[in-house]
Amino acid sequence: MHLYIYDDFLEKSKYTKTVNKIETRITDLGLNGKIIRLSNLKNIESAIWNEIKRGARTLVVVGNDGSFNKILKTLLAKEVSFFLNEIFFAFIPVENSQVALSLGIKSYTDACNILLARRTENIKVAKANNYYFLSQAEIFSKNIIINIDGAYDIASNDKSSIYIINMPLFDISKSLPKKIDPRDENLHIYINSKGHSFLSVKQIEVSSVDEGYITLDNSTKIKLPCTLTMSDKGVNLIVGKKRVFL
Amino acid sequence: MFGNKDKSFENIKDAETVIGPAIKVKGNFHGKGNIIIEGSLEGSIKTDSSLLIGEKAIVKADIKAKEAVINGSVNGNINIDKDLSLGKTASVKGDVICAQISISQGAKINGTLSMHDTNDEKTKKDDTATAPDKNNSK
Repeated sequence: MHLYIYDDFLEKSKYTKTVNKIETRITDLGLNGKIIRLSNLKNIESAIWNEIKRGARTLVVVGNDGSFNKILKTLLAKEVSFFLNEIFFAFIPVENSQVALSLGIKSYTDACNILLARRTENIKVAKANNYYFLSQAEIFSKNIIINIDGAYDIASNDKSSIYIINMPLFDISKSLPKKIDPRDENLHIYINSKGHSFLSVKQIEVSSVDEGYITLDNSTKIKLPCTLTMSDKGVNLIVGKKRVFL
Repeated sequence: MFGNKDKSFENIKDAETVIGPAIKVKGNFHGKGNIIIEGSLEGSIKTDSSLLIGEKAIVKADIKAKEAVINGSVNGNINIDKDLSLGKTASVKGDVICAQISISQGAKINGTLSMHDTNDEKTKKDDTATAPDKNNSK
């Protein structure tokens, strides 16, 4: 059973036309399901948990990158995560979306067709301290020290952009020297500073002399120091042929 | 091997690991795929594939690799299973052991150079960057 999760900003009148088009397309393709709207919910986790208990197995997020990350966090929460292997996670973007492009979804129309085709990939989720992230982490700090697998340290100049990537977002994917496989057990470090650096590693410890932080999936901000590894959890994502990863 | 395009780093997409010019690495840097180093590194380098050290790279490390192209500065012992190529800007301070070598005019080596047979099982099994036996050196 499909469960469509509408983010609360879709209540705004400027999205009415888009939402109507999506619903028409979903109906045409015979992919109807229950709709829940985040604007009406006090507790997202318990609402989704209840729907999963009632048999929902394909969760379709309708919204933007923030919506996707919000629901993904819910999926990785304690109770729901027991069902992760049975649940399929899909995304219908209503505006420009780095996550959607990364998954090979160009538009909401495209997303509906991809939902019908149901090509799935199990993507491993990464962990930063006690927080999960799917795509990438970005480090914001000066004078940072990155220890890799307990074996060596990396230092970069202050103007570097440093990303720790599991599943690359679309813009970053264009700069990477090779395609990443997010199904593997590795994290990938990409540093853009007077040239590019790229490393595939198992564990990363980031610390800083000054105060610094890392943002996860462009949404969660955590303070340094931070240890990043792959977690034992994976998410079944419905993806397009033109995804940016292997 | 990196082929003829190595000097322009055109094969960067084939490398598993790239250490850019603004990066400093300290410690035991062990990788499985091709490695390109354009920055600085202190410690040791080991890979079962190819290693390319760029023109501006500064490496203070013992090196163990299957094949290598060196265009920058290396201070340490170099142990290569197969082919070693030293470009015209290469500067090596340390002992070198490899099966085949090509040295461009202008390359500098301060140390002993030993050649081993490509099929030398002893060398293949030796997974540490060690100095060659000076009695056998040329």
